[in-house]
Amino acid sequence: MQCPLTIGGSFEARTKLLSGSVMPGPTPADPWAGQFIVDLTALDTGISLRNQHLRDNYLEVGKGPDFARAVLSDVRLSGIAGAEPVGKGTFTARLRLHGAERAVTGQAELRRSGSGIRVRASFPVVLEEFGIAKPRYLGVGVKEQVTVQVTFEASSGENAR
Amino acid sequence: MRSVVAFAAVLVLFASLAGAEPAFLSKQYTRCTSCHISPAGGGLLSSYGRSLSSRELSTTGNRGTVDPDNPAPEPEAQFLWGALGDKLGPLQLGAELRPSRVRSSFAGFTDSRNILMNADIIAAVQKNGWTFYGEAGRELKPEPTFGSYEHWAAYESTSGLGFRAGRFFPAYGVHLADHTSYNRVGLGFDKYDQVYGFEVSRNTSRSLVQVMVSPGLAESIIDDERARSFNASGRWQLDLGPAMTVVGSGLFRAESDIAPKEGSAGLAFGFAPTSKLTIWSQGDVRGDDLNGASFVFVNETAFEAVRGLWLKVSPQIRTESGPQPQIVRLALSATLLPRTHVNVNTTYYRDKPSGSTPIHTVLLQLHLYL
Repeated sequence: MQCPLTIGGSFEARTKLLSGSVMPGPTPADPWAGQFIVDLTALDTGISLRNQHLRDNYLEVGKGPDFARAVLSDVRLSGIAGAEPVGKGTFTARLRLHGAERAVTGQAELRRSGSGIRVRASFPVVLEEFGIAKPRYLGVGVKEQVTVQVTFEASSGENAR
Repeated sequence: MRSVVAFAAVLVLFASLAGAEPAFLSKQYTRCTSCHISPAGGGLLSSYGRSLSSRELSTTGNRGTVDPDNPAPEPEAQFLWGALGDKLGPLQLGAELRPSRVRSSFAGFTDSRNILMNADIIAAVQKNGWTFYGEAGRELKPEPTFGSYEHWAAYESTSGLGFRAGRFFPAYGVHLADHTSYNRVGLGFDKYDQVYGFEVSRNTSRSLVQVMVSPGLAESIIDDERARSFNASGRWQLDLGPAMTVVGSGLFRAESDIAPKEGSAGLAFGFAPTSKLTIWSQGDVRGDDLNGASFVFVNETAFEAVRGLWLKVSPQIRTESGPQPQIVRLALSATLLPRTHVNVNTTYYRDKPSGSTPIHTVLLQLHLYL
């Protein structure tokens, strides 16, 4: 997650705790079945104070499972055929975050990687739409829109990595 | 003879060190204003910078939970560790003291001295995009005097357009904490090389542009009309990522009654491969009408060995320029931060002028940033 700062510059919050499985729908117009889940409790920004603010004050991961994880579902790819899911395209999906669920739209790139597919996707998230308070601390804050970037390798019949 | 001049220059150069910490790029802070009030870095820490000093630098700083309902900085991170409570209101205040001992040796000659490098009070008020900033204290030029080498007013709109007017340090390259670095003193950005000028800026998430014009260096305007000449500088910083940035800079100084026209241009690149390692490099071409062109290269690699202990290695070179020989430096430093705003720094410098024996300097300083 790339977070632009109000004073200029940005920081990244990272985690490797991504899991889930998806399956293409019967036709390219149908959403993919399944979902991706990100555990937010281990998001790491590189320094402890920022981690604490992000997890506890703004994402409020201690409030329950709907806050401790983000879930992306109902993924619909556009420009990438289901039979041969490689190439660049756009997607729409439903994102459940901070106890709220909203539609998101982003870019995706799928490439063959060994026997699986390497997926890189990104989409913007407006914090206010998910009821997340404006992150501010001693004059420094995060702007209202952050960018979620996801990279993983999907393997047939296995859990996503 | 040139080496003796260089030795004498080294002793004067270590008159003071200014604070700025570009090593914080490893913590994903690409901008000076993350921690400092000044957009050119150094000087008064912002409340956020003080908080980072307590929580991320000091070995004994607070690591406990921050109360989300209390927006005030913790006492440990405040002026005088919070001794004044909330009596200062919107005024941000800092006091900087640097008692130091410096020892230099060259070809059998040794000089040791104790120096109170800094004794400054710095204050700022920020509200609705406006910043009013002033510093006053003891200056070494080389005799101690009282004065104010930074005082300015600035404004930045919510869209990132801004200006600054007053006496300030021109933005150029990477502002290393050590003002004796060749990319500072070697390019005309020493401790007292502020200008009286006007700066416009454009600050976005990815870039920062600063352009300055000035009728002259502040010292020349106050004390020496013969040295007064038009100055202009520009700095463009482009963040390639949260821990990678490139900076292009240029400076022009018109001819004065006592100095030729001069200028410099350079490129700096900083990146942090891990959260504990920052590598900055800057290369500049400097030239004037009298001595022609010379090249300056500085690298600073900073490593956070453990919390509160930073180790730095800095190879530097400045090629020959007129009467000044080529000189090569290796600087090694260790900075221990036992408590918030208390730094103990030891630096060893080996400066090797071409055709001469090296100059060895050890600097030990206690930096109290109250």
